[in-house]
Amino acid sequence: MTVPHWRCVVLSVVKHAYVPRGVAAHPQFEIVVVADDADRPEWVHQRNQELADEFGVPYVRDVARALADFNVQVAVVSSEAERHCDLSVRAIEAGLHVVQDKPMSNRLSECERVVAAVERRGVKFLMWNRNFLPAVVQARDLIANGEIGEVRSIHVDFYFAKDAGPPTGSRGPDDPPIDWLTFQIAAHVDGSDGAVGTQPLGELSNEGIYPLGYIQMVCGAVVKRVFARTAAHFHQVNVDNHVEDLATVTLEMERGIVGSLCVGRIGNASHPDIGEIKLHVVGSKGALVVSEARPEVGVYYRGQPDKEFKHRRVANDADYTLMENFAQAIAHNTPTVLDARTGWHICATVQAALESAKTGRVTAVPTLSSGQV
Amino acid sequence: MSATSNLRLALWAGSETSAIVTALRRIPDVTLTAIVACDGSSTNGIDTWRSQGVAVQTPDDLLRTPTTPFDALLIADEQAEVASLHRAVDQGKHLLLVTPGEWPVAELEELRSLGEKRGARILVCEPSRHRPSVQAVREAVMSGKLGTIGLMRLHDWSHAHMGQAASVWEALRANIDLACWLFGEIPESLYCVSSQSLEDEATVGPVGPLQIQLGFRAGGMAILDCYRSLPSAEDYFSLSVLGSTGATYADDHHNRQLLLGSAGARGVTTGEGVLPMVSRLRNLLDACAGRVAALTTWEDLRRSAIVLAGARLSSESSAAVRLAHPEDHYVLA
Repeated sequence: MTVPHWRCVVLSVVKHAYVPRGVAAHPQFEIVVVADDADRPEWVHQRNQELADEFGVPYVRDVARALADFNVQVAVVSSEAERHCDLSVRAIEAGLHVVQDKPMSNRLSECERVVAAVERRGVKFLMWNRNFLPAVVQARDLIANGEIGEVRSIHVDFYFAKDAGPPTGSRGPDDPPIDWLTFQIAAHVDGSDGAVGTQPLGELSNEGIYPLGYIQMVCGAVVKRVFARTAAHFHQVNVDNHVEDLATVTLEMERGIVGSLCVGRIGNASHPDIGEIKLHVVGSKGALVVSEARPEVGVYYRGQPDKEFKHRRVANDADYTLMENFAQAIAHNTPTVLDARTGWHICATVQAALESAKTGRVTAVPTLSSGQV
Repeated sequence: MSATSNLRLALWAGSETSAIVTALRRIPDVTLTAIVACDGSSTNGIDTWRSQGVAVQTPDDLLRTPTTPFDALLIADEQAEVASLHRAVDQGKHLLLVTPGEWPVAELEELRSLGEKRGARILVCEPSRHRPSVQAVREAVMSGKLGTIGLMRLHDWSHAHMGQAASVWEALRANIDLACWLFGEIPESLYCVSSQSLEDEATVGPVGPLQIQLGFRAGGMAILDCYRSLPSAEDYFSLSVLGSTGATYADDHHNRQLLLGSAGARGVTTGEGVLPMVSRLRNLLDACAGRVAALTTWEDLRRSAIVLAGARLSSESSAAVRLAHPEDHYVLA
């Protein structure tokens, strides 16, 4: 039996490199080249070069040439959020399957371009996600097995206990506002630059896809209406750039399911580990409370750095499982666990929530009917 | 009754009678002289109390032909008739409610007015405020160590307690009280939704799931959800508060033990025992004696009732509502 093997191009990797590393965790995917547009600023080229060196592959400052000359079948996109969809569309139009970092985009129109291109070219698209973390898979399976009956409500807490520069209220009267891109570039050193880009990106916009991805997988229900409230509560960089670091969202879904979402970048001091990330689900025959961090192992020692997580996640096979899902989708023409249409809908849900937070009113989430794009 | 004298207490029995009697043993300067029993099912161990010299009477026995002396009537029956409560207050008896129940605030206010004329105190307790876990959260918030409070997240699930009339709406009101207590103000906006169908509610009563999202003036927010139809007898409560410089998590999930039995593994809760009831009674009795301020004020009761009315308006209209001026009702946003 011949095992399929896919050659991958990484199209820009300006932030943490967990997506290309996750792709490479599966033996059927091989990273053979890193590429980006020649007109990118030097810090972008530097980071692309670092990843190319890590994998021992060339870095090409010409996306079209990389797509044409390296016999690649899969593109891995991990650029600034505002460039995600454009790079993906260019790869899709070249006939490549795409794995794309979150968020899908900060603009719904860009997501629509991806959906249209995917459906026109018949390729596979996977939004990177955390759905295959062991505890989330267990929640999915328990619910699918009918352990709590039909889902009636679902609530997800998604708090990242990371700092993001100086706290709210720390800017002096004569200090200039913190520049978003400059701050994010500097944050690369500790891996907290997930929202890097020229356009400021709030926590709901940047991380909302993870909890909404859980809800979509566990319930299989589309969000119809939202009511949201947001705040720049913790970090001065969010205040200065008018984007949220804390959000609450009420969700009204298909089949009468209701739910909620709490998302925040709550600061290092507010949790001993990466953060409180939990699912609460009420069903017609019972209920389920799941901590996303399980299983984990506690490690404590004298002189332990404050920022070192004391509880370490173990048995996490999410990267491989995600790429296995992608491999199966390509090989058997099945949907990926978080495909382009689902990604579009999650982006639409986030955009509706941000609109609701501005107006103080309940907001309908737009739909994308079959063949609409 | 002086502030230091022994208080003679009549207990109108209800679903929490057993816990109340256990807790009273820990509280000095109180003598239980009578138990009011409307129905035998709520007074298990009547014979035991009789043997201890406690009179067991009907409301009429106690209030129409008072032969048993008492200074205060402790109400543990949420179905207690308001007319009987009026009669007790009219006789100058203090009235101590272990829970606000679902009595309309206006009726309680009438009792309070009557009590002021008769020299009787009317005091009400919000049970959730007396949970040790909630008190630890409140202490953390009040200490200032958490900074400015940005988010409160609460889940409150239980089975349908036998003999307990409280609906999911009363549970919501009680949790709204907690939110207002922790934020120190009434929310400026809210949105309330339920996933229970009207048909289901007609069959099994209002059990939820019911959830509400609250927005406070300074930017703080809260999401609370309540459910009253878990299949098992164990409840679940989780309260998290995120501040600008810290956070606190009181979560039954963290406090589950693991039981490996013949039916497989299951989580069992290490509960808070009788301490919440001791705290409730101690505050009611001390406040009645004038030694401390009541932890739950009339303004607290009015506030949670206003927000609950706003929640019902929001749920019925499927729309967000905002606080109107004067701040005694909500209107569609």
